[in-house]
Amino acid sequence: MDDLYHEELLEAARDPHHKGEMLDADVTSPPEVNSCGDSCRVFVRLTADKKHITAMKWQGTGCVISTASLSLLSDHLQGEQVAEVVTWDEHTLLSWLGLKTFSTARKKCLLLGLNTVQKVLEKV
Amino acid sequence: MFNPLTIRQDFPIFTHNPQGDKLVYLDSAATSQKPQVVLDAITQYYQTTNANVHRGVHQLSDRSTQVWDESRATIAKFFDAHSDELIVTRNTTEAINGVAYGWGDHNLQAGDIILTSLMEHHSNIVCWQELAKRTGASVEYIGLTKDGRLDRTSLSAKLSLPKVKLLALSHVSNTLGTLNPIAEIIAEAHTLQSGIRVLVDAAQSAPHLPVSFAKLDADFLVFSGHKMLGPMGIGGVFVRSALLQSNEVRPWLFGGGMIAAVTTKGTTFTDEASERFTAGTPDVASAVGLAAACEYLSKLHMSDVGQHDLDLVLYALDKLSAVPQLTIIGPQDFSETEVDRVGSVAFTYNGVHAHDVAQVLDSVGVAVRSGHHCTMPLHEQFGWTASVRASFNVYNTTADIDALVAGLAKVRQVFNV
Repeated sequence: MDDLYHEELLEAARDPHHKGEMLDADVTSPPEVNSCGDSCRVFVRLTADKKHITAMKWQGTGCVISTASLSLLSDHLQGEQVAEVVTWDEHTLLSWLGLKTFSTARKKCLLLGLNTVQKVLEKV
Repeated sequence: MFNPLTIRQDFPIFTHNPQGDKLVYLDSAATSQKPQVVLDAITQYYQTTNANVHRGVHQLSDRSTQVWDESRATIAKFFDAHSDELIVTRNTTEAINGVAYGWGDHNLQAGDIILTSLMEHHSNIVCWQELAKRTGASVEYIGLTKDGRLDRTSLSAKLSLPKVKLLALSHVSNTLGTLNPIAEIIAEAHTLQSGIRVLVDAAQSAPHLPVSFAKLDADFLVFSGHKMLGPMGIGGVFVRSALLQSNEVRPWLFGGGMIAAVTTKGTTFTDEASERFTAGTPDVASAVGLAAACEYLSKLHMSDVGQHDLDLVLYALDKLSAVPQLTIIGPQDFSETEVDRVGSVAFTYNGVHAHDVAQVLDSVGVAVRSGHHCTMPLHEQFGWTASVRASFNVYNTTADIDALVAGLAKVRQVFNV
């Protein structure tokens, strides 16, 4: 538990990056709701050839884990290739957090943002 | 003399779990722990009696059939019901599904109303939504008061709508802890809507209160064994015998064991209610385990079990209401004669998500539930994203609640709120 709530994660949740609506997004997800009640919506802007992500914003309510995960995701997505992002998984997120293992019960929280982003990118 | 510390010694989980005796288990509304007598009964059944029930001529099959019948009778007696009225299912959810398929599909039509409430568990909502889709009926929801009780004005108004065919209501709410005045409500339902059928969800009341199917004027009463010290995988629905005899309720699972005769042209079902609704090999061992749990609870006396729960609920309300960051969910002001709250105290922690609260509590050995507890419409109604629920059973003590309160201090420390 003490590993789980390390400072980096708490900081990311306290001051989440890129939270808010993006009116000129190229792709927008419908509200995605986890069975635990956590929810998010993502907005992604792409390059003209739709191969790279230039920016992401998000809205949502959730726990520290899902909030921090969305915040980190919004940082890491900038400039990434779409083809690369669709291959990301929980290990990608854990590497950003410097963690090797993660509570099974909280994986859904961790993956909420990434799953939502990947879903909208599949349709690009 | 009811002593939770002695009772706790009957539950091997408190010595064998990885956290050992540090475990503070406050999640019994999700599932209770099991006493050694239940585990022994299951093992003993498999060691000494295991054979398939019914129609076996050999001694072991005969003995197994007897044990199945005796276990059903013990479970029925615990609910003050006749064993012919008991249909065994896996749990409450499956029991409600059974009523929807076995009764609803044959008795509802377009324009009919199924009445439930905003405090229900998803099992008592989703089954009816699906039944409504199949039949053209609609689902109406009884509203709640701000303090988390059933709104009796809304109840009376909804019961007065035309063609209300079913009232499906929990005895005790799994999130609010509210104890509904179920006998009074059933009487009102019968007065306002002749011919109405009533289903009582006793999943959260049966572990804590004496429940009498004979005295409640309900048509269906559903329960889960695993919440009342029994094993997972067994529960049931009691059905008023008139509904079984008149075929108003029909089998919803078909196959072996439930038939009288089968030909290539068709099948007749057995008259015997207990068999007509038991298609396939039943979970005899779990029935044996649940019967042992019923006997264990009866020996403790359900009135004492109820008093112990009441003591814990009031203690928890007192201690938790002193934590300024918490908002307690459900009834907190009671009349002098009755505390209409059973089994649990749920709350939200201002500024910290329920999962994060539960995760920190887990780190100090306190097991609570976090999330929506399968009551999303209730959470939506009150604007809660998620909540934390501490729930109790016979092995809990006030020290467990003290540990919860101490754990909440760590939440404050970790999240700096």
